[in-house]
Amino acid sequence: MLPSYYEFHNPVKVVSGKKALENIPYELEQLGVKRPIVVTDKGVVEAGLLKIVLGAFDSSGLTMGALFDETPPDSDVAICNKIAALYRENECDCIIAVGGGSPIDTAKGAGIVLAENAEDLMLYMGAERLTKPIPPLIVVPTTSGTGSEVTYAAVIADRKKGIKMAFTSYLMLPRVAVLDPRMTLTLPAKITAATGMDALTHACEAYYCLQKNPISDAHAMGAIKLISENLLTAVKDPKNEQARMAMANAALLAGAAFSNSMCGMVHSLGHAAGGVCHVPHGLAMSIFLPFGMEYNIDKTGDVIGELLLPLGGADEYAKTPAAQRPYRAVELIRKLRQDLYDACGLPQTLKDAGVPREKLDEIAQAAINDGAHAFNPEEMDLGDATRMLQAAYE
Amino acid sequence: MNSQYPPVPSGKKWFKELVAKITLVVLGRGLAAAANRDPDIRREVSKWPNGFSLMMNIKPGGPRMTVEKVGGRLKYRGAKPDDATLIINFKNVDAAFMQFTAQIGTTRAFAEHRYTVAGDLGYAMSFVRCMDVLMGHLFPGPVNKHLLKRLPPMPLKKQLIRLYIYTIGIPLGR
Amino acid sequence: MAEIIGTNNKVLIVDLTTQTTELYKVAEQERLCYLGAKGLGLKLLYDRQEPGADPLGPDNHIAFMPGVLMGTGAPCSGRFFAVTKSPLTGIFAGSSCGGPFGMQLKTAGWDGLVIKGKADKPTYLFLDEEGVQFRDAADLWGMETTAAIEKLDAKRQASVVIGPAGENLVRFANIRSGHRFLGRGGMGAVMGAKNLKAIVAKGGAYKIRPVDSDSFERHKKRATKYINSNDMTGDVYRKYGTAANARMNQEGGILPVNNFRDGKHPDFDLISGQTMAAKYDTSPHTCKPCTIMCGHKGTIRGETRPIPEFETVGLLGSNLGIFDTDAISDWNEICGRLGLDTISSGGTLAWVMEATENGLIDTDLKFGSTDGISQALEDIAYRRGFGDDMANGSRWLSSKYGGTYYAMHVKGLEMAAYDPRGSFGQGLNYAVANRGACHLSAYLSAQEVFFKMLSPQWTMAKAKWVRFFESLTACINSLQTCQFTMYAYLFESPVVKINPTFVLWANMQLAPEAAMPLVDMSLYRGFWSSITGQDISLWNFFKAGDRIHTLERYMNTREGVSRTQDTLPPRMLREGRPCDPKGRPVPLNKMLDSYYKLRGYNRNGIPKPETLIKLGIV
Repeated sequence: MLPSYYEFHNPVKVVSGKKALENIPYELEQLGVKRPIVVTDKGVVEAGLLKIVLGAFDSSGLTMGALFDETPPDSDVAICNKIAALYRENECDCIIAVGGGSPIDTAKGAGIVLAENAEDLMLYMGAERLTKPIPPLIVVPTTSGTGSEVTYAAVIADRKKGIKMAFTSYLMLPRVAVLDPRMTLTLPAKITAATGMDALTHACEAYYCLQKNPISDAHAMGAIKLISENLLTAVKDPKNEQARMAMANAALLAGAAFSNSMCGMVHSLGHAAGGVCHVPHGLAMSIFLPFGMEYNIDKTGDVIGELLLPLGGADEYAKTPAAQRPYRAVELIRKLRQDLYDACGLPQTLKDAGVPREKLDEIAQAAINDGAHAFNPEEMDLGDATRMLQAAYE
Repeated sequence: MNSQYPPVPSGKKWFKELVAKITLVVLGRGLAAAANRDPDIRREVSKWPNGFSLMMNIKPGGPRMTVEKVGGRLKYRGAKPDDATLIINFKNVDAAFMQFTAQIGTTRAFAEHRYTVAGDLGYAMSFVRCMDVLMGHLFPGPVNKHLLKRLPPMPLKKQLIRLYIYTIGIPLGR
Repeated sequence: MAEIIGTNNKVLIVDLTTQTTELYKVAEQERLCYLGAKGLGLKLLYDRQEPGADPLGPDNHIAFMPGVLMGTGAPCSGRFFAVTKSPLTGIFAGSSCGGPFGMQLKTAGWDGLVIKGKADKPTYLFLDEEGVQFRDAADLWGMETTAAIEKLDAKRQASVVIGPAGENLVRFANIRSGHRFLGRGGMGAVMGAKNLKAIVAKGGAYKIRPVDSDSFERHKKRATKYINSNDMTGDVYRKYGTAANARMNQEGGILPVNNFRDGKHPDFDLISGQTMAAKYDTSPHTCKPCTIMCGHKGTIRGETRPIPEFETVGLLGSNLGIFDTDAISDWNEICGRLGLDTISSGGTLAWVMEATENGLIDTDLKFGSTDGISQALEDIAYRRGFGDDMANGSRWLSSKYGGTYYAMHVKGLEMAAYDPRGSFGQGLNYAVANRGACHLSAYLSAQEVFFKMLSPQWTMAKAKWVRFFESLTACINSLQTCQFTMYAYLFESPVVKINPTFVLWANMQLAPEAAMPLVDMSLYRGFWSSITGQDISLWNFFKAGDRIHTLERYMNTREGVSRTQDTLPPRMLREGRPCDPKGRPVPLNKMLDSYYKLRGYNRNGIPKPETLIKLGIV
């Protein structure tokens, strides 16, 4: 079904596969830049991933303008400012972000500071407030989940003021996303599982939420198929390059899908659980996804039923009568979750994720204040959110 | 200057601008009135800090209106202020017209990127919920049915609030 | 013989862990508020049991409650009630039974028996007017119900026993008394978990006399007259038993066929009460005392057996695609001997068959085939092989193997044999019934399909009638008498009698508020007042029903029930049936909101604080 109106925007060049990193110098040349600043975090350095990235520049004759490896797990305004200063000091002309969600968001934040010559990032909070593009940003993701390499959003905290600021702007999009199998090989099983479920949630929600459109649908379907076929393998057999690559691609596809068609209540609940009780985002997605899908069956059951095709495969889809498909799809996601639990102990309930029961009301309140569920097909009010949380608790 | 290829100045959508202008007044005054009467909106507004202001603006320079929270109550400030804590920017007058004439709902307009939000998205959500309740008051049930995801119940108390908004809130602006 | 005038108000509370007992005196006010049987049982549990108790743990209580009518000789009063937290659903469940245990318990001077704790070895209780003895049940353990009853029952002495299913904690094991059962909710497993094989009550110590005998006799006479003159109670059920529903369900298109995939079947008449009555030469075999006499026995495969009830032929018959009553009777016997609920057994087997069809599990069971069912039932009772999984019911199975779409349960309790897609009010009833998919909570299919007093596929006025009949049945189950008396007492009163059906229809459908006051509850109230000597106004009587129903709801919401659980199996919400030309699913949400409002629940289905205060629950 074609929406009456939609927008889709994804100009990110994707460089994916064996020795993809080695193409970064060429991509820089294409972008007309030659002195990057590398933004990453300690985890990446310790895992030896940075060495591989830097190794890709050997014999290219390029010089890194600066290397910043102190990104904290939550990106912060102060860090963005620091990076911007480093960038100016060393006369860099582009940014390479290596890592998970945090270094990428931080790089985007630093980009805003640089582009707008901003003193205070707060002025640019909200949707589409930038007026100038950020410096060319090349992203090398080391997890397969957030899809930050193709999204135009960033969440940056201001610890001094104790707030989290969300920025969205098409001018913030990275120019190149580099997916190299070496980057995700060392990801621990549990994080692989959680980030994989995160990507799955992006794709599922992108597929059934309000602003779905033919282009995001295609991305979402592709992502779900890759995830349902490869996530378990990637968790059980971490050195399997093919599965790892599939997951990296799936995360990118899902990211492109949901950043254009937006996500729904699962994200609201997930953001809230993360905000109130520090439940890791991917884990929260994994816990809430089946409940969110079930909740929407009444409104968009047929659309959710279509997800059975990539989730269960053609045979399963063909043999399940149309009316049963959405329920079967939810079951398969529950089964995947159970399998992940068996394989690496990924919690399935809020209780196991360490959320105290008293906090549920607070999470519910935060969830309905979160923007994501505006795009959810079914309305969710405070009572609904509370019920959902209680159902997901045990 | 080559007269064969003259510059083409843009026209003006008088009617739509007029409707938008009027609706902005209605919405602003309606919201301010409802915020002081309707428990659902009041609950939302109570979470906004004092001095918080909300602007609905139609790009590029278009009609706008602002409401401001002063002393715990929402006040209609008209078109004069040119900055606010939270700004709802409609991309063009047609986007605003569609929403104001109940062709699309607030949520759907947001989903379709008909307007952009400058400011904290959390407050924007709060605003969207207020608008949904306000729409419930301003439009009759059958219209709301395709605007809102879920029709709110309209007990007598809410009907009285509706009456208040139409008879006192909007005309007198209190 | 000593006499009890009205009520004795003595409840015995037994702790199996410490082998101690205490006596609880029911206050007059408490009785007026909760009447007795179901209502009082719930109240006793509400006061004693913390939320979150494990149904199979020592903290769970089980209460056996005869009502005020028991022992007085009122028509159809041979019934007692049991309340506990169900291992099948994890919430509270009540069950009504017409076995002889209730009468002996009552005439031993007890208005209730509450059991908690857990015995450290197999035990049975022996109860008389003096109190209770804890007896060793080593030689009874493992026995089938029939053998155990033979051993324990004697003149003026009757028991409730569990079979192997209860001992093995099958989550839908039942409790047997005489030839009748506390069927639903897995109460047998609760007893089994307490190592309690049986309870024997030796009665006859007291004679129960109403306070106002004259008034009581007058009411009894009128009640008997109504029962005899009513078509349903005086003719259809009396002659053919509840299985007569098969014909009416077929006509209304609500007969479950092949796991609720259709609502009609050409072979329906093979399982109808009328056919069985002719085939098996039946005679009454009822609760005592009874005036309706819907229970029957007959000669099946050369032996005298009870005739399967409608729910049994529906769930173990048509819903499995089977119309062979000999075989159904065999399974009925097996379930009876082993102590299995036939509804949940049938519902679970139907899920197993459909899941097998869909390749989720690998069994030999298939729709329309009688092969392997006896074996499956025994495997369930003894938890052998796949039976160990099946013993947990369809909700558990579907969450393990998939197939939630066609797991026909609500809140874990398997659905009875009325398809809500041909009876929307029944659909709302299933969704909101306190113990799960219980057909008797409001039993609207009787009004919609049997008597055609409401249009089955309309949602209009359904919430109001569900609420009305829920409260009324809560009253009936708290008096306690048979729910079928409702047909006679309500529809035989002169006001109803003189009106043709279409007038009643118009009234009930279009002006329910006007129709409700016309419903004649004077017999129920009359019995109550003449026996206890306490006057109760119509308003207070009905409010007691509201109170009892809402208390149970409140107890369940403390266990985590909310709107999320007030739903129907997905099949009911998304799929039409071949027999229904319009193919309509149940428009549940529409009815749910107005129902909550009527009940004083919030939009999430939780009783509002003011509702609880108004009803005097908190």
